[in-house]
Amino acid sequence: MADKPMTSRRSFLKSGAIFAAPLAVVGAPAAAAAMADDDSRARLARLEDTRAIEALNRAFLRQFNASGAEATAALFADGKAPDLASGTVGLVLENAAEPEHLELAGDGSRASAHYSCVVETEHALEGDHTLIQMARLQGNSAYRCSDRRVFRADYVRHKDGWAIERIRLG
Amino acid sequence: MPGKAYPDVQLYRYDWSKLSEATIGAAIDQVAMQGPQCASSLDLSLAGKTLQLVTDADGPNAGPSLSYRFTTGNRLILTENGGNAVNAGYAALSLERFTFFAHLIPGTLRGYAIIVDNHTGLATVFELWFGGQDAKREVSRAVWQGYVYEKGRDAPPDRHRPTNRVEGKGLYWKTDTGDETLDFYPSVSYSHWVELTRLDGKQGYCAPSDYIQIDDRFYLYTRTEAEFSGIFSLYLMDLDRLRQVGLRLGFNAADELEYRAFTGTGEWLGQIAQFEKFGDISGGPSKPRPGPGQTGKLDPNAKGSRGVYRPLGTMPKMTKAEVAAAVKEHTRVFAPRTGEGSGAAGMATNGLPSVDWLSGKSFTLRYDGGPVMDYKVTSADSLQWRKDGGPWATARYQAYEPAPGVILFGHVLDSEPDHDGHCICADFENGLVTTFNGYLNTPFFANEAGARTLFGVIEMQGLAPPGKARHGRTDELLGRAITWNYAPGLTSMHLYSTPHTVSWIIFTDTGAGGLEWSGPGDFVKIREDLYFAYWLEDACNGTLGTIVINMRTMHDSGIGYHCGEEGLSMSQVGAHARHAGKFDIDRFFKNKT
Repeated sequence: MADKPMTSRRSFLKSGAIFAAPLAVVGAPAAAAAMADDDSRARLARLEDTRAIEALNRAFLRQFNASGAEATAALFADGKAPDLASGTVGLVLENAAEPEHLELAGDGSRASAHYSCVVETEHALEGDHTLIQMARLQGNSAYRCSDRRVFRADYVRHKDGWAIERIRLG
Repeated sequence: MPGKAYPDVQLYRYDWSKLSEATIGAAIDQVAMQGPQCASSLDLSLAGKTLQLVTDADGPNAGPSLSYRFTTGNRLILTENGGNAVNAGYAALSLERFTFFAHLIPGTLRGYAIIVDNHTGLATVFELWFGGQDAKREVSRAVWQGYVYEKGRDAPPDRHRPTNRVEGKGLYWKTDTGDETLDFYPSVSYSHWVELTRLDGKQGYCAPSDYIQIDDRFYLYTRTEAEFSGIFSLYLMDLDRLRQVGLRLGFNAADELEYRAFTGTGEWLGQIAQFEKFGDISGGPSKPRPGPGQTGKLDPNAKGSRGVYRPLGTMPKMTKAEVAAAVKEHTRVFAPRTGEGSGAAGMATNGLPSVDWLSGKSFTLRYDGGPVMDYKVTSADSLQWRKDGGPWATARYQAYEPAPGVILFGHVLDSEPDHDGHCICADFENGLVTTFNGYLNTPFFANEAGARTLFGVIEMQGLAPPGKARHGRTDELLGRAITWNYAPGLTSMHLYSTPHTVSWIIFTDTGAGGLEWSGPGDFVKIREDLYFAYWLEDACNGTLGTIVINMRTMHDSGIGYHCGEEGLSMSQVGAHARHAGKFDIDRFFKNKT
């Protein structure tokens, strides 16, 4: 069971069902108690991992939205800023505490998740026409738009905790 | 050399004298003790009174405190910010419950124009000075909001305020000296005006402006003729009774100081649409930003700073030889939209798709009093042309169909000495053609485009000859304002303010009218509700913009022709339109050509 990946939704975790459902395993009372104890510790560890990943996401969003991709480099396993779609200037995870999908590897070394998100993009006005020069001169040098996308992330556990391995906007 | 007070050439073609501060100061000293001239009866009721004005800070700049003592006649004594008292001449005019007065300060390049609401005690103070811009003759202004201080009374909480409530209006004004203008207010930070009497009324011009709301009926307006004379005009207007009182200050083309208070009466020209969100009544102006080629000279926190479009100073100015070299090196006809320097990438995002309607066809365009152009179109983007039976040449082109059977296409005539480009609107159902013939090597800057309008017929097998029928110039667009959304985030509005003028207004991010400029234009009717128009960015960027305006589909299709240091380009223009409205100005141009 320990090697089996665990897929969950945050709402499921929050509901407490994770602690209630699987404990119907029948066995000798001591063995059953030991198993239950091990299982609870594993589940607790996964819960902690889940929360750590969510905290990592929040840190990423905060830094990205405040200062751009470059500011998030330290959150990545390779120390490099992500290369998101050109013009991406804002990310909003819809109900960030509740991923569409969160999967933790059985050995606890890796995880992946995806969330519904809104991506704000800013596009510079192209060209050098007079109207575009005038538009830039008065400050509307770019326009913004928002699209619903899927935020997909892979995570990897380091000795100091979780780091983001990769982010894609689907 | 100064010439006539109001030149015969377009204002942007006039060589305005670079007046020194000493010259300006000497001129001010000659009139400062007399006060502004005025053809109307002055308001002398201030004599013997005192007036203390307190104004608010504007950002980091403290507003002035002004203490006035009005003595006999038209003299006043001013103390600024508790400093030394100075004597000056002034003129005052009244309008309803308001008192307007203005004066210069002897020995300085400065003065004030002030409007006091005698009911509310609120005041707007315009601080005016020469020498604050590169062109010393240009009047700078700072706008201070405040109130009349009365001992023992609390400061009123309200203020006059910048507004967009004038935006979209147009008024005809006739002053007490007989000067007639059409004033259009299509922006919160700029305005457009046509001089009907001082100039010939053919060309409209644009200027940075202020719009201050006093209440729903009374507003303050200013314009500074930046890039031209630098003359500053200010008036208080009564929108219901269409009356004005104001001040005109600055040096005309004869370098004479105009320092005049005036009254005037107006006629309503109409109200076009506004495009801000409902409920937004905020005003301008915007803070300055460096323009193309400008770096670091603009301080947004400087007193009176605002965004001013100064195209002549920043446009590249090329010689005939430089143009020839640039054209030879880089001529790009309908280059890919996203190419760097293509000049119209953002202008074509909402353009019509190109069509291959002409492909495989041969025809002749025979222009009245102009060339005979033979065409053999070999593909969707390549054609052969010859002029007046000369040798055939191959050119890249693009074609669009802005209305059924009406084909807009353009190409460059490589072998022509002035690097001509033809923007051709050919009606293949009626056999008629109108072409805007762009060319370079114009008298002022060789890279600035000129344009000829050519009317003619299409000769093609199977096409009935139109006889004497031709497209013709039209005034059906006169007074109209049409918005053009070229791409997300890029929307302008055209205002056709005279039979020869296209003004363009750039909307801000909030949908307010922002920077504005204008140039010569021409307008041809192709069919009912279908027009072919051009504008020239004279003393601006030198572009010739041509568009077929379909007032039914509310879409245009156009071709831009431009030469700069990066070379000659011909490129697509296209936008979605909204009809913002039409000013009632036909009567001012009935007998003018």
